[in-house]
Amino acid sequence: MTKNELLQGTLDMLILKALSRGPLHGYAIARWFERATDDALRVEEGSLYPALYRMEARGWIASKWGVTDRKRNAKFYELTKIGRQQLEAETSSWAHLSSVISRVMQMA
Amino acid sequence: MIRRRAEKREIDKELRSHLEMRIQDNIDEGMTPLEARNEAYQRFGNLIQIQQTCAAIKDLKSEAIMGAFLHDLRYGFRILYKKIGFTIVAVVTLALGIGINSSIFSIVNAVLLRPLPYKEPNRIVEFWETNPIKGWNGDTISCAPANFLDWKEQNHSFEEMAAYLGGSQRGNNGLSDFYLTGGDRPERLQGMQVTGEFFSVLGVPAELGRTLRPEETWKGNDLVVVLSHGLWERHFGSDPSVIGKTLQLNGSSYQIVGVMPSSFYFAGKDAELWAPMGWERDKVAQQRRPHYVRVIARLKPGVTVAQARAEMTGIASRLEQQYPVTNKMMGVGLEVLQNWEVADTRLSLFVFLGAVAFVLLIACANVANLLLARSATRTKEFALRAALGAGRERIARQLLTESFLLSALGGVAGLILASICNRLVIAFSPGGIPRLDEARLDFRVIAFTIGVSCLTAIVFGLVPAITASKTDLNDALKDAGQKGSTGKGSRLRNALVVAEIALSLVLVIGAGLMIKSFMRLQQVNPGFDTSNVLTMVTSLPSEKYAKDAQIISFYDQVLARIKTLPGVQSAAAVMGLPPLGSAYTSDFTIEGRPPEEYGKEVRHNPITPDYFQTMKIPMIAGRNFTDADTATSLPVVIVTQALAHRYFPNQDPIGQHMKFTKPEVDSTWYTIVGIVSDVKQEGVATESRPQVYEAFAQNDNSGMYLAIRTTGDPHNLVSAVLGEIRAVDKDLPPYDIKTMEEVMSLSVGKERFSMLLLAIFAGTALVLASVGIYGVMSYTMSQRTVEIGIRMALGAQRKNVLAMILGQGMLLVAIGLAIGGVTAFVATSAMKTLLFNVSTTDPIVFLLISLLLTLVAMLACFMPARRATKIDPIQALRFE
Repeated sequence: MTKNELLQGTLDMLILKALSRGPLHGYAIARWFERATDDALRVEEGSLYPALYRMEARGWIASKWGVTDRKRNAKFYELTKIGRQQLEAETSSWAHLSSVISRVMQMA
Repeated sequence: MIRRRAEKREIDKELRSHLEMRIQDNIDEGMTPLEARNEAYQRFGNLIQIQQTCAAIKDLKSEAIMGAFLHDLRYGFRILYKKIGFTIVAVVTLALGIGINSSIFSIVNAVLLRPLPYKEPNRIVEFWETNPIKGWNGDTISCAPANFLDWKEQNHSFEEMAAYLGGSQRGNNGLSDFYLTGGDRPERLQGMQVTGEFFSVLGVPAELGRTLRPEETWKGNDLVVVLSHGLWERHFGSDPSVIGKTLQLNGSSYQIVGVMPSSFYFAGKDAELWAPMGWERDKVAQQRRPHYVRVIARLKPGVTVAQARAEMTGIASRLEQQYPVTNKMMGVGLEVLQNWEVADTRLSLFVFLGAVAFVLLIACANVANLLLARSATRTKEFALRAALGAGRERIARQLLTESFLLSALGGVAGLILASICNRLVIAFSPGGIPRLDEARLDFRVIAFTIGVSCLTAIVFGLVPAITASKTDLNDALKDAGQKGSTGKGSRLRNALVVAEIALSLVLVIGAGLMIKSFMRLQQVNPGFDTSNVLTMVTSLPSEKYAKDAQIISFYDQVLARIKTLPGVQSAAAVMGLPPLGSAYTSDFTIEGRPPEEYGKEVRHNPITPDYFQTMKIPMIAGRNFTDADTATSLPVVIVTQALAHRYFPNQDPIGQHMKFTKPEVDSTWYTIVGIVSDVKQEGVATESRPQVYEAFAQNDNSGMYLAIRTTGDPHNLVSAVLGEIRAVDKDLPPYDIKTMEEVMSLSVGKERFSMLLLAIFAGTALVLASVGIYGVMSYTMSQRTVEIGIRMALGAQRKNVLAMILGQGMLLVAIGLAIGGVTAFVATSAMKTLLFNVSTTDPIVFLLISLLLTLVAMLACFMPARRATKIDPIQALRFE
């Protein structure tokens, strides 16, 4: 996996996690990242969108235009059933991957 | 292309909305607008590049979908072509269901439901006079002119009211003859005589010039005429300067004031012109007795039919009190125009709608069955594809495409069939069915039938998708050979077949009843000999033939000349030709009876002496008319047996006296000189009413039928007869030239039409049901090849296997017949009034039809069963 692919896959997983609590629009996902990571993870905001579009094409999320609480028009995304399954799968494989890697790194 | 632009715009909108929200938040945190903007854009990244990436992702997705669709389409075509037998059957089924139903539905729509070409036709009502004593309750729809005038004056419910001359005989359209002279040949035109408000009531303006005015009703202003579009095209070559020109009609000069649009017609399409009544005011105001006009009126806005009815009933009773002699018990009925005109066809049309529903149901059941059967054979295919990664949605999408393909093919075939069927039905229908020729394929109808059929195809086509996703691949591969006549799928299929059989049984029984009824109708003895008789109508214009003597002389000469022709056995003139109705009706009084016995109706029919001989109507007692019965000799009548039985049950009528008015009115007394056998004067299905024949010489009329008995084919004498008539008066064209047999046949035209239509439906249902049975049996057999192979390998005889299979098939048929039989028993009672002399539960019909259906079903079961037994057991087992 190249650095880009790794990052891309991780980004997808993070977005799925963001949506796991309910539908959000693109900007809200960006703000969620800020809050959740204490602004430690700075993602180029725009790159969210190709990821969202790719995941929508795969059927992991679905989009619908709606109105924000500030009365603005925005496109909301929510998880589909497949998307939820994908999130579970990725979460467990990430946990597995990270535990393997940390074990390796802890080796002398 | 357009989609791409719309997608780009949407992406743009979304990204901009993100940026604006970031800008707003920045401002809220204290930045200046400019700072906020810069920070937002910088944070976002390369806007244009991101936009392009998103657009590219979307494009790819669309292409993938499009590609998938095209792939599905190609795959679908391949599958349908592979199983071409199935495809053809399914398409034909859909075509029959859609085509026949659309066609007949369109006809029903045109005849029953299309609005008439007048302004707000549901505000136009037609009137009739009722009289419980005379038994008038809506059949006789003519009114008396003086009553009409009073209604017009006294009412508050109607904007406008008008009267027109309508027919009183069955088959007579009530139009008057207008002889157009002044050209190289006299032409007989048919026109409707109306009062001046006629066109205002209908609310249709003229296309050229104007329509009539109220003051033109009366003599003195009445020499104006409005032409029909057809007449204007035909006779004047659509010349726009025709307004103001004059026409010589019946000897007078009429000025053309207008031309009606081509879509306009009233009470049939035969009227070529509309002319005023030409009434004389004083005379008509007294005419409370001869009821010879029909009345129509337009309701005032806001007035309901019920309110109008109430008011008219009040007016009628006021008139009853004012004119107790003439208007005793004379009431008024009224109904919206459209209902009245098609009242007598409404029931049969609803029966057809029922038939349409049945055929549609059967067709859908067939399609459903075919698809279900086919899906059972494809479980393996789909389980495999599911295992190879095709999602359930993918498979469903592909099946949907296949179903659409099938529906499209079926729909196109159905449309073609519908337009052919439409043309055939219109071409072979008799006259007299209102607005039949307007029946064009209605798009709503087509949309409905296509929608229903295709919905079925789609729903049942998707079944394998539902079952496939629940099937484990292993199970599917294992089961493939054994699924067939058992299991959930086959129960539904069997139920569908049973339903089809039941439905088609009901339909075919209905058709059978109609056929038997029609046969009975044709077997009715009309009371006279219908073979080798030529008939025609002669109508003498009143200007040339004003005196009785002239009329009598004309007919004397014509008949004398015709009788000399070789091939003519006898000839006569009669005013009312059976079965088209009698000439007119009147009151009558029998001498010596108590006065309360007046008032009943008696039918009249003036004839020349040779009439009974020409028609071969036997005389029962007394004597016939002779040349000695003239205008100056004793007034005589001959009565029919029906009259004799009813009014002279214990008395010899011969020698008794009758007059044709109420007892207190002075009129000529007639002596009864003979009794003659009854004929079906009013129609083959109508009982003979009391009737008197009068001697033409004593009661002449300027419009008479000629009846000529010939030794050979009557057609051969047509030109000779016409020649003789021309020799007496060259300006007089006879018309409606038909043989008696043709007249009889035409008189049951409507019944024949109904029967044929229903037979078409029944035939279609039968075909579809047999196809359904055959199809299901075939697929069942193909699934059970293994089982059959095993049985036969274990020693079962071929014919035992055949019997077993047939038995299972026929069990379904038997259940279907039972359900259908009970349903038919109940359902056919709706047809009661349509049947002549046939009970709705006629056992012979029920039995015969059931037998027919059983035979057909047996055949449909037999062929696949026989094929199954030809299976080589070793081959079958090897297949596994």
